Amino acid sequence: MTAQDPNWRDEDLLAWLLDRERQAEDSLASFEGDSQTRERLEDLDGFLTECRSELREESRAAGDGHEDLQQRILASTTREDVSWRGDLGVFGGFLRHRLHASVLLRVVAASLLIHVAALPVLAYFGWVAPEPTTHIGFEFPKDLPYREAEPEPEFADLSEELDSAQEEAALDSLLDGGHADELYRGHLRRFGLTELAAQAGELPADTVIWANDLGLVLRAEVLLNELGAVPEGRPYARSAHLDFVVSELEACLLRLGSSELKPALRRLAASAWLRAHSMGRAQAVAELESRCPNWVSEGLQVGRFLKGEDWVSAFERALRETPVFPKLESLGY
Amino acid sequence: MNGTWDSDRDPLVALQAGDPALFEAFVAAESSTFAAFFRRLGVGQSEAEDLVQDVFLKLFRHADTYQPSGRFQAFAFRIARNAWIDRSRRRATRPRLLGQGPGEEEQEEIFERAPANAPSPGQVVERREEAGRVESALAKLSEGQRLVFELGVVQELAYSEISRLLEIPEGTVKSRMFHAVRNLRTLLEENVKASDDTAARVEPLTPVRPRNQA
Repeated sequence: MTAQDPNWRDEDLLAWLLDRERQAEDSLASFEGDSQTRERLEDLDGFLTECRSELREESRAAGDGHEDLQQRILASTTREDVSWRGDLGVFGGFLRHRLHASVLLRVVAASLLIHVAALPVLAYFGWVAPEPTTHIGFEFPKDLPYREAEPEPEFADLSEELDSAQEEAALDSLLDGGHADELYRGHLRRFGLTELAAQAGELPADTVIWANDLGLVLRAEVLLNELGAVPEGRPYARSAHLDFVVSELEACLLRLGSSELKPALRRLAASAWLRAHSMGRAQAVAELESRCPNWVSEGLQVGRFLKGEDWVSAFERALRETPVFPKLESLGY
Repeated sequence: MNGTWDSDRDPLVALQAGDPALFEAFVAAESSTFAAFFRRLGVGQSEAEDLVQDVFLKLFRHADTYQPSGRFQAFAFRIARNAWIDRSRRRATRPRLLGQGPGEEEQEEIFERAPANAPSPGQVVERREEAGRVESALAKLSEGQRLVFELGVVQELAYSEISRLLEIPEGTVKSRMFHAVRNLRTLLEENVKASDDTAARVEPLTPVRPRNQA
């Protein structure tokens, strides 16, 4: 179809307008003879030109921010640096572009940077911090008077145990009853030292007497009485306490010499001996026997008073059956 | 050979001759054109730039084996169209948000990027108001019509070039172009009519008289 053809459809006019190859053959002036076709052509041309210019204007407006894109393209093509610097540049450009395009990526990168920067600081503080010290030890409950090296076995109730309170009361009654108002005179009388008790009234009530002979004896008595406070279910504790009493009695014997408190001491030793026997402590018995000769009869006196004749008879029978009996016979029992 | 870009010149031939200036001028002149081309096909801003970069890289790397046949611009848009098809295929295998269409990606990416040398938002809005009506009307056309219109009207490729580029007969190109122009005119006229109706419905403001005045 040529320009001189009057039966142009819009489709053909459009094709003629847009097809540069066709326009090379005919020009707009060729339509001068057909005013209607020319009008349609001009109308179409005007519309297309308006659309084209508006869309290109929009492209140009959007292209104001494309310098960065152009630089990236050129850096990858004609201006590509094939050395390691170029590789770094490409990588850096990629990172910059991606960071620029994504808020989430920027947040993640900032977080990573903070963590990496904080790492040497934390490492420094960990390096200079003092090493934690470790203490390994054992703590015993404060209410325990003794420390047990081995677990305590379960023992049956110890029988035939002298009650220190009963003993004290019995001894008091032997001294014509009653106690001295002050602890000092009371103890003296308890040990059968009536004359000293009469003189004691002249001494001040709060005199500390532990340093003298009576104090030693009193101390040993107190220790022996404390044996009753150790629970029966703790035989090792009681055994250790008894050992301590025996050593105190030995010390008393060495100090007292020919003191008139010796009878009192012998009574204590007898009491300790009885307790040692009831606890099955042969070592303690041997210690007492070696240090306190002739105390067996005195100890039996106490036993006779507290336990009765039957007990004394049984005790004597048992005594003869023990390995220590030959030694006792040698001591004159 | 100078570095001024002209649509009748072939930068790849210049590259083969060892002169990169024409290619650089081509990049400077046409990078925004290709970006707009991809955006009008429904690609978001950021992805459009990636596609533009891919296209120019492919052109550059093709320089060694390039044999000119026809206009370079048609060849370049053929590369661009293939890049867009590859991208569409990749997208088709990825899960998409419910209700998200091709044009909505641009809406997502509007707030994603703000280059340092970008025009101010006011300037962007003003320009888009002027050219936006054509572009928004163009977005309502079918993909085939949109593509033919873009290549024939905006890029001024010949029907034969469009036919080879899109691998469709020339008659199809002609038919699609006709329908694209007709539909576009209809949409723009409807848009104008709707704007006029809206303006006519707005009541003029009347001054409020004080009560003590009769």
